[in-house]
Amino acid sequence: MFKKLQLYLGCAVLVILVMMILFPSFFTTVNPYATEGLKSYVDEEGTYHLEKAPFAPQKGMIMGTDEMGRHIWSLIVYGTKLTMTLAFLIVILRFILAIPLGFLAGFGSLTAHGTIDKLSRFFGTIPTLLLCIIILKMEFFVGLDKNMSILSFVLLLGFVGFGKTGIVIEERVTSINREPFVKGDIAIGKSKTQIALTTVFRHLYPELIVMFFLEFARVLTLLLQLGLFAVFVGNVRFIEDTSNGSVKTMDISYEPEWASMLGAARNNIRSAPWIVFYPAMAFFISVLGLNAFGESLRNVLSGQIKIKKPSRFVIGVLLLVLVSFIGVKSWEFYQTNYGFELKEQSVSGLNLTDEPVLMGNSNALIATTYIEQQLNQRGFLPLKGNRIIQNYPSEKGYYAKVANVILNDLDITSEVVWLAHGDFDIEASLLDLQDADLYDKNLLNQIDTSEEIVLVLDGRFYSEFEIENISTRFALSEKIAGIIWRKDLDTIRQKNLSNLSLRVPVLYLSQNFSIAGLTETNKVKIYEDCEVTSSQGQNLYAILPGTSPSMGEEAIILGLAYNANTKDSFEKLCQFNLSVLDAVIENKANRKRTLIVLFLDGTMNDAFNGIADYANQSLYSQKDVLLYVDLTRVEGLDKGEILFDQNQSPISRYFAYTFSMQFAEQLDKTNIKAVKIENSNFMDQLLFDEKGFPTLIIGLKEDRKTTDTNKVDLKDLGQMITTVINQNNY
Amino acid sequence: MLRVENLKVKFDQIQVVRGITFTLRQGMILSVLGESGSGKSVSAMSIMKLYGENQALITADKLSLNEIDLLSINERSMQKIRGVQIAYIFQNPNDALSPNKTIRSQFKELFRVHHRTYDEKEIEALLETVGLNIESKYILNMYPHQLSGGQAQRVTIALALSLNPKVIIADEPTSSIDASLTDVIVELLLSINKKYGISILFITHDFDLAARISDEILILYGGLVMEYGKKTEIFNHAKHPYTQELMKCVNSIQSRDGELYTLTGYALDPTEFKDECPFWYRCMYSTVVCKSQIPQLIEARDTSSCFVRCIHALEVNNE
Repeated sequence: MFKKLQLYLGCAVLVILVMMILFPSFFTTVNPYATEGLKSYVDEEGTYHLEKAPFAPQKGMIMGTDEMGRHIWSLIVYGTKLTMTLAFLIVILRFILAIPLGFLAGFGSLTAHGTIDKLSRFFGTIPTLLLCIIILKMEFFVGLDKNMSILSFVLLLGFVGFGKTGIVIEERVTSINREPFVKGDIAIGKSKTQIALTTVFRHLYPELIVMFFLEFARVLTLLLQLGLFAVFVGNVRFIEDTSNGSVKTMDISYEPEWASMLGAARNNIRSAPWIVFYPAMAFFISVLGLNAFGESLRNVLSGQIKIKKPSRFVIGVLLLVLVSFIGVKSWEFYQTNYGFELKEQSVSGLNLTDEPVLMGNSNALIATTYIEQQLNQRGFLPLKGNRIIQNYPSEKGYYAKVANVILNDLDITSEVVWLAHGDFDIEASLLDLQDADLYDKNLLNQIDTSEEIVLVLDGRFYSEFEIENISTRFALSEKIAGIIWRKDLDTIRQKNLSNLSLRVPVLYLSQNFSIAGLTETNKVKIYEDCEVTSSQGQNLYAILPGTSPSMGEEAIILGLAYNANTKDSFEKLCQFNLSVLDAVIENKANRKRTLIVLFLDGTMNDAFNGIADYANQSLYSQKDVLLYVDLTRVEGLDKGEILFDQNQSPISRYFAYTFSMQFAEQLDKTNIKAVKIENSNFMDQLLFDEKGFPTLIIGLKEDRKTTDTNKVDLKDLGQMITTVINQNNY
Repeated sequence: MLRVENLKVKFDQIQVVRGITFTLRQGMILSVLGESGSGKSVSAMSIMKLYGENQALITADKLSLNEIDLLSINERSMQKIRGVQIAYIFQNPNDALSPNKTIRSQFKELFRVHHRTYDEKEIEALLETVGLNIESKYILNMYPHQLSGGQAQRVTIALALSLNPKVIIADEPTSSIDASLTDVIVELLLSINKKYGISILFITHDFDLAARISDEILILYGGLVMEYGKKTEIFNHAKHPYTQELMKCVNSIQSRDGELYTLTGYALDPTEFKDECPFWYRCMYSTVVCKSQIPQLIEARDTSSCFVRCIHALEVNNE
């Protein structure tokens, strides 16, 4: 009776463990990486609040949370895979080492016997646990990434424990070799290898299977012990306190894993015992179940428990175990791949002219109407008032409706960025003053020429503010017909939308573009048909409320741009933006949290950027905003470099932090290197500074310097972004 | 032809077999007779080198099978000979057969080891040859524990015959089966010998059996050959005192009147072997000379191909 109960218990635990590995979402719908309940926000008066995790077990979180606010139950469910996989690999390594050596020793090999004997004695004398702690706590191991950490664990723990198993196998092999039927095998001419594989192994494998499960339980116990000493896989250590000259650190695991939860034991056993109790229970039940199963298997195989077709039972169990480890291919938490397609949008059917799209010009009006209609169709609601389109006052701006810049018959229009606009049609020679001191009052007086000249100046060491001032000063001189500043275009924030209009054209020309030998014989033609912007910008503020009763109010904000220099780049950008929205909202079950979408105007120049308008208002509860994803730096290109800035997503804002880590993982997976933003200023941190929204900036920009291998297209970028958003919409 | 000259076998420091010599010619049946502990099975297993290198030390002046020197060849070559040129039938068939494999898979294994093709029809015919007519079809699906002793022993004989060996060593093949089946097995071995011309080295402690089956008989005692010669010579003109005593015992059983004749004393344990005639303390003819050295095995003067190890053999027989 007891034996059968033992069998049922063992089977039940095994099945539950396998189910947790294969179908974790069946047990919990909470993302183990996400923090639900870590309330960190900035209130209306600007005070930063922190409602501290760990939270005790309560409604909505049956086992409470850990120090980072992660659900314990979710960590246990999702941690089953990593913990069990780790234990499995360690046991497999032990068997891989022990079986051949045990067999060789059992067949008389003194070397093999000596090896396992000495190793077994050595690790039997030294406390294995202590040894593992010392080694795995070394800096080298602590700093490893997840996969290397797993590898080092498996190698070390596998190696220190295989001796004992080897000895048991050697004894059994020796004993089987003494059976008379082995003499029968020798008498028919079998070699030792054949005897080992066909006779000895056949007698031994049922025991090996039983040993496997018992060893599994033993390894889990070891992992539990190591966890208590804060030795676990995927270490993240961060510093809590450095006062009084001592560094107090908190060790957590980035990955869900049982042993890591026990690592919190030291710090939290009194104040938050549930963090330790539940994972310890999980270990306890698993070890108990696996031991029960191993013993029951032994009883089944020896006939003490009668089962119909015991061999089928054993094979069934083995298949179950194998499937759960081999069948689950992906190492990541997420089983599904979120697809992304750049869908054909009807944007190409719009009647756009060849002008840019920006700041309330005719193209912009068509664009915003179109986007509003698209948002309405997708179920978005206005965030403010009863219209998605919201106007905001702006200063007058200038942009080129049509522009041409030709240098010595070479069209360099696409290599320049306009700083000061106007209606121009000039043809002039170039004067190279790149080495001149631009603050020299007599500089212009020294220019002695009868023809019209365009100055070529070196803007590398001047700020945009200085360049504006110098240009304004120089423009007063009648001798000057235009100014070309040489500068790395990546350091300039504005893109052809300017609030400066002078008597002469002022342009930035990319430093990478080489002009050989600037002499008076070089001629430049500059033509511009300038337009003035309306004094109103148009933002679109839309919201898609979340469906989850517990976290529906938490929001992610997406900032998108719609200004573009050409009709073609606008179409590409619009297609990208709408496809991203489609990919994020199409799975209705995934819309747990609220999604706020901002289409911002004036993104080409900080002075006009519509984000300032949003920042001045309180359109949504500040404490519920988890993250602002700024995609306004995505340009409508075929291929470009990825910009990525996560400086405004510190680890204390855990949702944003894990979001940024996951995006970085996406980049790693595709072997793409993102670049930092070279011209970062306060505008990039506006929402973080003013409202406390952790911010992540992702962009796509053109760059002629890098090779194609580091460039991606909009589809790839969209894939990465929407995958991470969808993964975090729990 | 299997030639053995001065075969000695040592386990640890104990010399168990101290010098066995015989020649097993083509088509001949040679019985090795002796009490328990005389070294019969050890000699037989040593000929096939069934002991591991660190288990037994085997030496001989000559140990050859058809000019192949079995002592000096390596294990790999020996594996090719075992089962093919020389086969072994164990005392207990259930020990020889692997308990968790069907009879069919045991045959298949034998063929696989020696890279021969397994033909089910041939094996069924072979099983019929060894007397398993009716059962031959379903016996192949059975496990050894499902067979009777007689069936199992016949299966081992069939296994031994599978690859047409030249020599079969039968180690007390009837000891562990019913007495009623002894005849069957013995007849079977005789018919194999006649039909296929296979030489048989027949190990036994049963005089009657040896009488029925053998061409020549070898008497073992104390790890040494005491007497060796043709069956008729041994039975009608036994020269060694030990052989004569054995004959008295057998005759006493057969005569069925009065008490059974017994040989006084007990056989020596290998640890008690010394450099002396191992039978001297039980022998009525022994003298001081018998205690001082191991007698040589010499050819009897009046008969050829009959050898005896006794200093007093002539005197004993002239009486």
